[in-house]
Amino acid sequence: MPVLEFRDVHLHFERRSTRPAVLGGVDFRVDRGEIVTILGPSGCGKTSLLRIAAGFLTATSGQVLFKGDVVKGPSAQRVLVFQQPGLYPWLSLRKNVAFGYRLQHRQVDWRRIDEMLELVGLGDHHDAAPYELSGGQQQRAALARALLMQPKLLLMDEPFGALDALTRQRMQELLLRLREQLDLTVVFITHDVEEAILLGDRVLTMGASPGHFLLEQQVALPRPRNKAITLTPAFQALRGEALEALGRLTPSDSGQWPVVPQGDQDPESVEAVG
Amino acid sequence: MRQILRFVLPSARVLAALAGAIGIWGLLSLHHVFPSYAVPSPSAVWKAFLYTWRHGYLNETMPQDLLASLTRVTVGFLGAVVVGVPLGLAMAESRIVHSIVDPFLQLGRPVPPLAYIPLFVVWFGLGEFPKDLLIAVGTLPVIVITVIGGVRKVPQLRYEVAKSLGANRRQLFTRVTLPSVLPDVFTAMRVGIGVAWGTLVAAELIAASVGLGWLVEQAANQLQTAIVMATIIVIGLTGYAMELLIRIGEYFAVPWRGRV
Repeated sequence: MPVLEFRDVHLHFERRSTRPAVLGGVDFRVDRGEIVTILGPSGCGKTSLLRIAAGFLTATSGQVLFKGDVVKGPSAQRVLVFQQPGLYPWLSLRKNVAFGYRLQHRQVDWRRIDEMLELVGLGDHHDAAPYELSGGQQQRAALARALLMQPKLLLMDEPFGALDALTRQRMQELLLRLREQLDLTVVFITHDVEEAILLGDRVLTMGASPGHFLLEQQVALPRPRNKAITLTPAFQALRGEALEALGRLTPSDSGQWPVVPQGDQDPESVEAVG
Repeated sequence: MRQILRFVLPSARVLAALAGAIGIWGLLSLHHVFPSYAVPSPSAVWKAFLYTWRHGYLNETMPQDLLASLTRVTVGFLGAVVVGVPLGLAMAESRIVHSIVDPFLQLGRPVPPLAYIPLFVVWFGLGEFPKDLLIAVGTLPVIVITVIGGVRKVPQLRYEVAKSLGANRRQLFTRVTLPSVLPDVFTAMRVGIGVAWGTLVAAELIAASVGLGWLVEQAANQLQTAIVMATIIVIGLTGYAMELLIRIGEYFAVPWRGRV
């Protein structure tokens, strides 16, 4: 049984009389142990899709199943990690990580919390206040807080999108490492083509108005992965395919992927489709 | 300790501003720019203060007046906090409570506390209770409104994070809303303590025979301007001291204020 399944999911915004369609018939499934990345420009409905999976939004029509049951609201079984860390400033780092666990349990085994902090690379900051940490450290703590729930499904909404490029790379490597160490099933949303391929077992590329899938790619790159894999021809081929689906690149007559023109063009603007 | 001193000790700039103001005041009175019954000299005010402190004016000494007023302000203010904070939380959480209470709050807000005096005298007589109540009634709206505003501006992300981790409605309130509005409760108290002192003079028009507001009123009737000014300064300093106390409490209760 898939962990998550969308069957012909439509979403319309109710608030305007025109009822613009946000999602127009989305089908996909996520199996246990997979990382599925959803790639798309901003406004394509990918965040709405994730919020439906998390239970914060209800689909206008279609079925959303979590382990075979209809999703009826948020649950600690499928935790959402947001773009902003959302740590609570009145709690120490350790207590922030324990926040979700303590909603259900009176007793906390603080050694487990410390192990989790160790795992995400925050071993030295147990008693720090969140606002004393950098953005990357805060996002590590938010990830630790979600992982402590041992969710059956981890939903990540551009979790590294607000971080600088170097910190983002470290976070990507952290997630790749955690996936080797823990039993993770992840839906990861991004507008960064390279990030989508680097992290994903499968990449679903989305188009807008209404949101729909343009392309599904199996990422048959070996694991464990690290950033170096982005330099391989196999990776570049996947990237070209995704960019083409997004209409950002057209193949040359020879059928080979052309080199992105250098000069006045900023490579960032080609890479990020947001 | 050092952090507390940071609040209490005035900076050199503040001391300079105060010294400058007293200096100008002294020059004005020295050259008789205004008649001395209108602007008595700083030394005359100081003497009036010492005399009233030791010997009193119309029976009561200044410490007795201070104690009486301090008690009234404290009781009225704490009453407003004890009622106002939960009421504000209830109004922010429940539409029903809000629609029942809000009309009265909005009607009562523009009414100056002085206007309630005749009613309170008829209902509650001339004792301490109507005075405390008047201060509480004057202070209540600002506390309620500040607390409601605090609940309304809790970032949505804080709620969504908690919901995603499985929080129920009660937990959202106790673990997200309450700690989130704590800074606003302190803001409400800081604004409220000023309003409470402002209501005091009105409260002490109710058949008082002791109190700083009463003293101002009596001394003014006798054109004892120096005593009036001395009392005004005592009210100002006492009110400021109470605000400092709240700020020190805030510093320890809300260390994240201004940093998130």
